[in-house]
Amino acid sequence: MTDTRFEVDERERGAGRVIGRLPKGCRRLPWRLGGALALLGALAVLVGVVQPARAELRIDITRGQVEPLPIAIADFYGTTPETTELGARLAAVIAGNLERSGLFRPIDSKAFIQKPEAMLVQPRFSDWRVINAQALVTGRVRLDAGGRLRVEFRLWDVFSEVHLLGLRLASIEDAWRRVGHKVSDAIYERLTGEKGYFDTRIVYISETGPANERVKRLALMDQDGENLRYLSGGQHLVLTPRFSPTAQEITYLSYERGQPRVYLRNIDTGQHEVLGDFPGMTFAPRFSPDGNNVIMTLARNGNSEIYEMDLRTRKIAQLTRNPAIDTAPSYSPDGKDVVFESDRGGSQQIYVMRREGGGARRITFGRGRYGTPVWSPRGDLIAFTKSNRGRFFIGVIRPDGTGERLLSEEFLVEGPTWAPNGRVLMFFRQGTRNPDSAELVTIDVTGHNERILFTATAASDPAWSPLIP
Amino acid sequence: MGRRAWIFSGLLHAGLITAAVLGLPTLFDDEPVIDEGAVVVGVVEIEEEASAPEALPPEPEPEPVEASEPEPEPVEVAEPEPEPEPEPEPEPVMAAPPPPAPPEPETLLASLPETPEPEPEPEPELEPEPEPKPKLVKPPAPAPKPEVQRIVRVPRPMLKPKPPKPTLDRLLKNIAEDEPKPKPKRQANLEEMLTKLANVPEDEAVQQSAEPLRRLDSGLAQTIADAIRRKVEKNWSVPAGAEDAGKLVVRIRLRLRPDGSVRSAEIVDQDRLTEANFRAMAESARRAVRKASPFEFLRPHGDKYSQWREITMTFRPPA
Repeated sequence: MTDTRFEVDERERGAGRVIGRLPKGCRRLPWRLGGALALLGALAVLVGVVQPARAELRIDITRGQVEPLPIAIADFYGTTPETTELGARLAAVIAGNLERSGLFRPIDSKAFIQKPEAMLVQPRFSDWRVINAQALVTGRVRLDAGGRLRVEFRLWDVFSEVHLLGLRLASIEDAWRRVGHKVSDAIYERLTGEKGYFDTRIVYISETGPANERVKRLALMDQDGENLRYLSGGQHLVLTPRFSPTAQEITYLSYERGQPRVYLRNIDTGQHEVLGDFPGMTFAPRFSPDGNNVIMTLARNGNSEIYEMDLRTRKIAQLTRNPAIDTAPSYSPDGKDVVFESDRGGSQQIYVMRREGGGARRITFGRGRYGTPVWSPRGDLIAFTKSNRGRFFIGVIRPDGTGERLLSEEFLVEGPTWAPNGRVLMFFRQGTRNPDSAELVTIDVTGHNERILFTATAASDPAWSPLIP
Repeated sequence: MGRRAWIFSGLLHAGLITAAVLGLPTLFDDEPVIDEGAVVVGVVEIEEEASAPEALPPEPEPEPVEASEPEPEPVEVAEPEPEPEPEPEPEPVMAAPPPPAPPEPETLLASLPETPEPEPEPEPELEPEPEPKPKLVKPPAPAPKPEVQRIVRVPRPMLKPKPPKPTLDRLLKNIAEDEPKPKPKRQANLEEMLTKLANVPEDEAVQQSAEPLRRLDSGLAQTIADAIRRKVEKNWSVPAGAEDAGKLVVRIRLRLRPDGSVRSAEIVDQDRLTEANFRAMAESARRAVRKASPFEFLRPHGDKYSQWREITMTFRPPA
């Protein structure tokens, strides 16, 4: 029925894409003409430089496919039922990680021709080319006498028939998922050239109960949503947890003492303490990149200023001094600058200043309000929340104020946090007024691959840990 | 919450903290202390030849249980590879320099050597390919495409200086200021669909370009270059979103056999392979070339083999 019309429409646009340079109106051209123009454009624009005769041919390749890389992840080979099972689960963890990244497309193992045990030495690449796998992962699992888990894997380039990577990992058996994450990280890094982010955790605020008696608890889980545990019991309101660079501690806001105060907490021991003894309330904490300082906001007499505390000496330094509201500070990864939000210019905008205070310059100038800036661990971008006309947006901008891009929009989106490689952002989203709809979402910094990360309860305020040491 | 609640909670927690300070077990934070030492995952690099069983020292692996299943590993060393493909290419398994075996993966990764891909025989097959034409590209639908032919000839003069706007670039959403953006998810999907659809006319272009290939002699190299380029572009999965991707320009030196298949594909800038970003990009380029092989439309042009047997391809990733 509508099928035909739809197809025509798409082709038209497809044609428009090929040329790229045609003005928008060309989309309305009939398909034939559009197609002809497309071909004309494709040929006109794309032909490379050619040197005549005897000299070698030179060809420029300036575009490729942005489709995910097809990768085959064979079950890791085990010799006992137990290790065979473990090998299959490891392969599943790895495939899940790579698939979620949006950069890889794990191939259904039903299509595999060669069996794991046949590949202990070297795979038969032709078997993998047939199913169009560009990369192949093989491995094996053993449990040694002490019950220690030993995993060995190899990454192969199927079409070049090259061994790309081989690693051997050892751990306790219970940590098998972490082993899977480490393997995923190694594969990701080898194939993309950038660090992975799979051996990481997420701390967030788990929300339950009716709106007037909302229970908020600190929750911790692996990056893939597994191994959930609660760090606090829900007696007090908690907000904005942030990881230390070692991923062993978090700093967060709690109403434990009645007033909002910044706390420091060891994840494994549960020990926690208030940071500083201030007359007003403190909030919006973050660790410095070296972990020695916590930066936060102190509100007193209706004015908010940014302070930094040295965790070793407990000395405090005031970084802003301004009648306007200054808050939501975040360090640059080199620790030399701080990005924060302020309404000193009349509306709430984002500013960058020197770490020791001073030299503040505004970097956002768009309509609406900008807030909660977070500097990427890669340094090249700052993520922010923007609100305009009752809508919320998550966006990124370069530290010099150029290149603003909005990545996601909703009734409410807030609290961006970066994966440690600076390629993926997480934030929370609430689609309606109902806070029970709050969920965690990840998105690639290119704006692609938006996904919901399933949580047991409504979830807000996520923070992505660094790679676990 | 009421003030009383706060006081109550404050008291409770004061008690809690006191308890913690005195070393008593905490009441609410019931999470057991994790012995982090036990969870640490040790990582060691293994080289390719390590897969040969004798090179895996820490694996005595008697595994008596599985007597029936004799651990196939030792047998497979040679693996005769009865592949149907007539690939005489020796492609020796690279002899990697023994790694210093440091524990950190990053260092190790950098130390992995590139396969040298040595070029063997000095190609005696230079003789005029006897191969007849029928093996050519798919039957070029002849009738309804006059536009195409015209197109092929027209644009040649103004070619060079136009580095086309990269696809990826357009994929990245560059959203202006206050533009009311449609749902990003939908847009992403649409864009993906468009990318796929965009390939349709291109495929056709590749096939049709084979036709002029047969007839045009002047500018043959140009036409060949177009066809090769399109096929490689179709097979290149660009590692998207890499930092400073624009600087990762990769050159691949390609040697073709008379049948249009790839004899060797070498990354030219070997010294940059220590940069993880560059290496990933370079390998993606090499994969693209390998995947695009064979360039079957070259077969009818064996007489011009000298013009296309060596190709330097420059891959310019979209910034």
